[in-house]
Amino acid sequence: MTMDYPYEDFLDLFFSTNTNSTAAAASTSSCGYSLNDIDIDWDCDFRDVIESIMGDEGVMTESESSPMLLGQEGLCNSASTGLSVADGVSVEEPKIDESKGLRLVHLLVAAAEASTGVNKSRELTRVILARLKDLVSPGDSTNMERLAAHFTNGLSKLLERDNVLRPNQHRDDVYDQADVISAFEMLQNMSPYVNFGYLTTTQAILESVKYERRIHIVDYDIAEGVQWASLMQALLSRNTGTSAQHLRITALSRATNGKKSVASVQEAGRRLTTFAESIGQPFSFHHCKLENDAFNTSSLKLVRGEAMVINCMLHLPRFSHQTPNSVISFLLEAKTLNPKLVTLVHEEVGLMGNQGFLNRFMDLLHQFSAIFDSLEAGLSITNPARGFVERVFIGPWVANWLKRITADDTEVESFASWPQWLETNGFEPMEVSFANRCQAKLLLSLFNDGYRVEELGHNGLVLGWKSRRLVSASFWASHDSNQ
Amino acid sequence: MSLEETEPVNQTLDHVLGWLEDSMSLTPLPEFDDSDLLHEFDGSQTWEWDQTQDPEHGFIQSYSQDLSACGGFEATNLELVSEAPFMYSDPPPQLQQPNDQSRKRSSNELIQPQHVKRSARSKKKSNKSSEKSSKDGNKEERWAEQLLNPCALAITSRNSSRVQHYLCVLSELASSSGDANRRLAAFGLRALQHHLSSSSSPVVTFASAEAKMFQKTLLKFYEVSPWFALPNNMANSAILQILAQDPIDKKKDLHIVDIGVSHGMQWPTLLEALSGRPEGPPHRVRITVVSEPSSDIPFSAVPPAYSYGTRLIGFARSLNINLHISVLDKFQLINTSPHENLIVCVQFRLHQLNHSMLDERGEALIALRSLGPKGVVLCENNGECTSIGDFAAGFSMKLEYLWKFLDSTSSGFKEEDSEERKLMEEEATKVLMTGEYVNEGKEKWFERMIKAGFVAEEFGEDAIDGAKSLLRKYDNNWEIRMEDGGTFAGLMWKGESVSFCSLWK
Repeated sequence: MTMDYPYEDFLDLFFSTNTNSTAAAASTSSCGYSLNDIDIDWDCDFRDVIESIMGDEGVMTESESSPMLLGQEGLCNSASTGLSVADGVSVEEPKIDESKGLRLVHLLVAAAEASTGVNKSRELTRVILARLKDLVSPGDSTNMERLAAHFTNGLSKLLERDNVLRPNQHRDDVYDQADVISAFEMLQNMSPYVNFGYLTTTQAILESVKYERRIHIVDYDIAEGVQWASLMQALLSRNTGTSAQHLRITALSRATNGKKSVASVQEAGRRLTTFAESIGQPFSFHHCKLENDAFNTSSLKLVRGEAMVINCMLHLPRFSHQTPNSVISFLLEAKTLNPKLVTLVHEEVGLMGNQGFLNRFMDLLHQFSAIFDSLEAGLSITNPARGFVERVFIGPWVANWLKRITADDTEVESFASWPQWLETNGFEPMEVSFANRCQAKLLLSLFNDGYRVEELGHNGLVLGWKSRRLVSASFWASHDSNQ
Repeated sequence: MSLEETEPVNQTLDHVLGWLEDSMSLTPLPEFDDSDLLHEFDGSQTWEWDQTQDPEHGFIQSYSQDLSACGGFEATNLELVSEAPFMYSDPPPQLQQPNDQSRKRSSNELIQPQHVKRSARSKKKSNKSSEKSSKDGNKEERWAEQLLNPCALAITSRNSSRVQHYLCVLSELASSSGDANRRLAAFGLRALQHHLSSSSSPVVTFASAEAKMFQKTLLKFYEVSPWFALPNNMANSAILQILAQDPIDKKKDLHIVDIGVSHGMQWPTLLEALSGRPEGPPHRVRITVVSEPSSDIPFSAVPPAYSYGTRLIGFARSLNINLHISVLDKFQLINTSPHENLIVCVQFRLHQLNHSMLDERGEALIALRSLGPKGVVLCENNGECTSIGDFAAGFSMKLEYLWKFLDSTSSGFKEEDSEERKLMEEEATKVLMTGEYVNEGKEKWFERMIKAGFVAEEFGEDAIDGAKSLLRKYDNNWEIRMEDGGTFAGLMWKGESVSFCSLWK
């Protein structure tokens, strides 16, 4: 095993693209300064509730329920998140009535059930949501209350959207793009969630194109382009010779997302071009607008001898989500390009086969309770930065997921798992390198205990919080039609 | 005063008031305890915390162990429920059970001309389209039932976690002093808990109410709702109508057998009308009240200290009517005489009789027939369904009935939380606790009457006009519908049947 570059530097590089709040976040986590005075293990609560609720006759059978509950076991170590603040520090103790969490979950489940399916009832949904709004607000002092508040808001939006009397009144919380970006950056500093995907992917790309002169990355969802700045720096830092590798990025944008998406892709391209120039990385950027959401390789500019890389980052909140079908059609088409590498990063939520709405909802609740819990480990709930991230970033993320699992049932339900799909559709697994694994672990060392990384087959890595898998990255290739 | 005048209500109530305010000795019941009452009303909101206050029962442990943290039941209670044989272990519940069976039977056994039936049905059909839309719209608003019914279903399928879930959600939304939905949720929740744990909490109902309060409550209820006022009114008109048909001896003694729930409220107007007849009142009026010692059935019980006999007799005396009142337990020997006009008033009482195994309801009517009455007034709840399914199906229908009651009291009582309203609603809620299903379709009752040998009699103009003018006093969601050639008067709330009145000879 050889390592061409010091990956510690690489990590630094990675974080140097962030805002100056990095230092603060790093110190926060390293000096162990945290005010975790709530010793409620939400993970555990949810498991119990799920177990109780999953007993439902119509929803699922015994055997179906077990995979979901698996991996949640033995992790009720609520003591570990408890912290004694006995030494004179007067911290306001937001000890809530423990049963409140449970009441909230029951209400949320009831509201979700009432807002969808055959027994859909607007009035019942409205009444339950009104009760929830009495009980919680996003500024509350415990994780569970805040989480419930975001779910309540998300469900309320669904209800408003359905309101036939006021059809065009989408009062979505529209945040300033700058706010969203800064919230995103703050999240990167609070949690390895975002960077885990970027880091492992970038490392896999670097390894796969080591000897290539020209690299062409087709990016399914470029977002702000943060991912590629670090790649450029890494490419340069290992190129000691005269011939720098040429990097080309084609970013997709979708007509369905409207002008905003087009503009933000263009903006990302501009930023990357400027950045490449400033560091001397040979670079070109293309923008590929998809009509009708259908990707066609003929719309790509292809150059002979380029190493193709297909990049799918599905783990970030996309405020107008792409359906699994859209990703599938993209991957099937991209496969014809014989990509040297296909990277796929996705949330470990939602895609769980045909298990009914209730299970998907509980899964979502699990996922976000784990995310909130993990944030809590790094940053006190009273920290305004956390409140900001939750409000601007996580709130809409939750709402978007709710929209998704209540809307196209058949599509979401039919889909079991991405790795499974790729495997059955002729993509070959590409092994995760030792370096990549080490790097991922190194990343986690910057954050609190509780995060962990595990392998997903030979070709994937999963980031988890305690017993809950949050996000996974896997690597593939396709050599079908050799040129 | 005669009944031809179509504005009797004010006077009626005034007179009733006067009658009731008459000198009387009422002793307050010592058992009445405000704190108990308060505790009960708050119960649905606070019970879940009782559990967690116990330090021995950590939240997580207790929940995962017995799933009872939220339900507020002891684990043993739930186990008991799942182990105990269910009373109704019938196959899957059918919530919407068409009453085909009864129709078929009735058409086989109907002695009455078929076309009466048919006209009724075609009338229904024509109303249906307009009715349905409003009904469905109404249903959507009725969210309490959307939680209570699934909970009852979960109970019948013994899915304890699901039951817990619904109980928890219900307890969050229920309030015995909120709107009709919240009240229904509160009462329904209590009934379900009662069903699960067989624990009954102290509630003030007719039987346990303080007598003075009870009397105030009746007066208030008659003032704000035609629920009983209208059937009483039609019954009185019907009695006068029957009497007027006998031109020979209008002064003949009148004997009324009162199997009802009016607790005396019905009679002052009748007495007044009798004394206002051109020929004057009958020589003697006897009222035989068939009382109901067991108080399972809503509105039938009275506080022990409550008695209206002497006051009513005093009131009659002031009208120069010679009134006698006797009280019987159930159907003891009713002492009749050939020299009197016997009229039987059966109102909201017969549905307490068993009708699943042996049709006691039918038997009772046959027994009445044997008394040879000149006329029988039958008023009953008018339900949709005739057969008892399992617990969930029965519960669902009881909820329907209670919804109409609570929804109508919501608009009737202006005060959110008057004592009178509380008492009436608590009494109505008894319906959820009874095993028997209370509402049968009117077809079933008609069939029984015909089988017992009675013949339906058309209500006269006076009766109908009187009823209509009475109804104008109340919320305009109330309406009266005459069907079956004027032999059937249906009282409707928001387009849905509440009760019917019928007259038989």
